[in-house]
Amino acid sequence: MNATHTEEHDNLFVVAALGVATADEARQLDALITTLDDEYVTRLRELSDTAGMLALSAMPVAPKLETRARLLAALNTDQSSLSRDKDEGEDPSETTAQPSNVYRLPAPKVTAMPGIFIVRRSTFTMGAIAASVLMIALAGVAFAMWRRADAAQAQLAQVQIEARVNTEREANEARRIAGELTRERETTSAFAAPDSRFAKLKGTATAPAAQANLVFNPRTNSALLYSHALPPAPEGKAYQIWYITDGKPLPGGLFTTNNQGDGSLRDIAPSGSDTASAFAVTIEDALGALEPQGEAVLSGFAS
Amino acid sequence: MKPELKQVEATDEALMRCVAARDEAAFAKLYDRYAAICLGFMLRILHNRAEAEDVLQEVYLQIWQQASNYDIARGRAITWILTIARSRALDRLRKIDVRDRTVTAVTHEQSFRVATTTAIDDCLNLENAEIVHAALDGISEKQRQALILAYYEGLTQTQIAERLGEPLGTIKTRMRNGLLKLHGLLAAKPGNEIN
Repeated sequence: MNATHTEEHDNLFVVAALGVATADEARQLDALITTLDDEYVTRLRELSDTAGMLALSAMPVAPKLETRARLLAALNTDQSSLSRDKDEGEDPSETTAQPSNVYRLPAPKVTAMPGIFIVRRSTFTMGAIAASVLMIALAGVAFAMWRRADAAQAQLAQVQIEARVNTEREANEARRIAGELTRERETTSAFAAPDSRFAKLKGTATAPAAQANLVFNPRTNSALLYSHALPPAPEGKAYQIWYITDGKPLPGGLFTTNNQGDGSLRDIAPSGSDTASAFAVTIEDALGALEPQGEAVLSGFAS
Repeated sequence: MKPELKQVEATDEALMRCVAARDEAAFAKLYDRYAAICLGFMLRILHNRAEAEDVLQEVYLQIWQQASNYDIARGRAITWILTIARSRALDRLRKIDVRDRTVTAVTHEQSFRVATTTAIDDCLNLENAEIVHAALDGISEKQRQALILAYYEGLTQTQIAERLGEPLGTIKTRMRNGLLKLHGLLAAKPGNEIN
C-alpha cells in the first residue's frame, strides 16, 4: 500500500468522520470498508469521535425552562397508548354487536270456515295478534334495556380508562416533583460548598431600588440569582445576567420578574466564567443576546 | 428487568440504558446533563435561538425514541447525542429561507469569526471542553478553520475550497492533517476521556 493510497483512505475517513462526505465519497468509502482490516474501521470510529468533540468547542447555553417542560409532556403523550385491548377486565367480545331481537311473525292465515268455527277462529286470531304485539313490545323493551346496559358498560370502561390515565398522570407528576426535589437538593448542596462565591448586586440609575443576591459555584458552574424590587421587563424583553471575566461580559441566562419585582434564575454559567470578577444584569430581547445590547439594571462584584 | 438508576451519579451509558427502558427520570437527567451543550452547539450552527430551541426538542424526542439503537461499541453516548443534534441542526439550516440565511450570514459573519476565536481562547465550563480547546490550539488556524466550516456548516471540501478561494487539494490536506493531528493530541494525554 503506497503513501498516496493511504492519504486517499484518510481523506475519505476525514470527510466521513466530519459528516460531509458527498454521495460519491460515501460510495467509495462503502467499497473501501469491506476490503480493510478491523484496525482501519477502528481508526474511522476514532476519527468520528474526535470530530464529534468539535461540538464541545461551542459555548453551552441553558435552554428555556419551558423547553424542558414541553419535552417531558411530549413524552407522556408519546407513551399514552391506552388501547381497548390493553384495558384489564374488559372482554372485547362483550362489545361485539348482537343480532336484532325483533321477531318477524308470520302473517295469520284467514280461510273460509263454518260460522261457529269462524267465531272461534276470530277469537284465536285476536288472541294471537295480542300475544304477538305483547311479544314485540317485550322484545323492544328487552332490546332497549340491552342497549342501555351496553352504553352503561361503555361509560364505565371510559371512566376506568380516565381513572387509569389520571393515576398515570399523577404518578408522572410525582416523579417530576421528585426529580425537582432532587435537583433542589443538589443545588443546595452545591451552594453550601466552601468554594461557592457570593455577590450582592445593586441597582443602577435605571433601577436604583433594585437589588439581587447571587450565589455562584465555579466548580459546578451553577449560579442562582434572586432579585428584588426589579420592575417587570418591558414587553418582548427579559433580564439577562452577564459574567464579567477579564473585562469581557459572558452571556448568561434570562429571567423575568413578577409585579412585586421578585425574580429568580437558576443558571448554567458560560465557559470561562469560573474566574468571573463581577456580574451584571441588563435588559435584552426576550431571546437573549450574545453581547450586551440593553441598559444595565444591576451590577456587583464577586466576593 | 428494567435497569435502575442508583443514587450516585449515573454514567451516560447507564442513563441511555434506562432511557431505552422508557425511564423518564433517566431521560430528564440526560436532558439536564447535555441540553445546554446541545443548545449552545446548535446555536453555533443556526445562529437563531428560537430555531435552536425548537430543534433541541426534536433532538431529545429522537433520543427518547431511538435510545435502544445506541450501541456503546460504536462510541460514547455524548458523541451519539451530538451527532443527532448536528444532523438535525444542519437539516433545519438548509430549510431556512436562503434570503434569511444570507442576511444571517452577513450579520453574523463577523460574530462567527469572533466566536470562533473566543471559543478557542476561552475555557469552557466542562472539563471535556477544556481538553478540546487545548487540542484545537495545537493545530494551525487554517486547519481549524477548515474543520469548523465542515463541522459547523456541513460544507463539503469542494464548498470550503470555493468559500475560501483555495485549491481543493489544499483544503483536503488541511482537513486531513488537522483532524489527524487533533486526534493525536486528544489521544496523547492520559485521562483525557469524555465523561
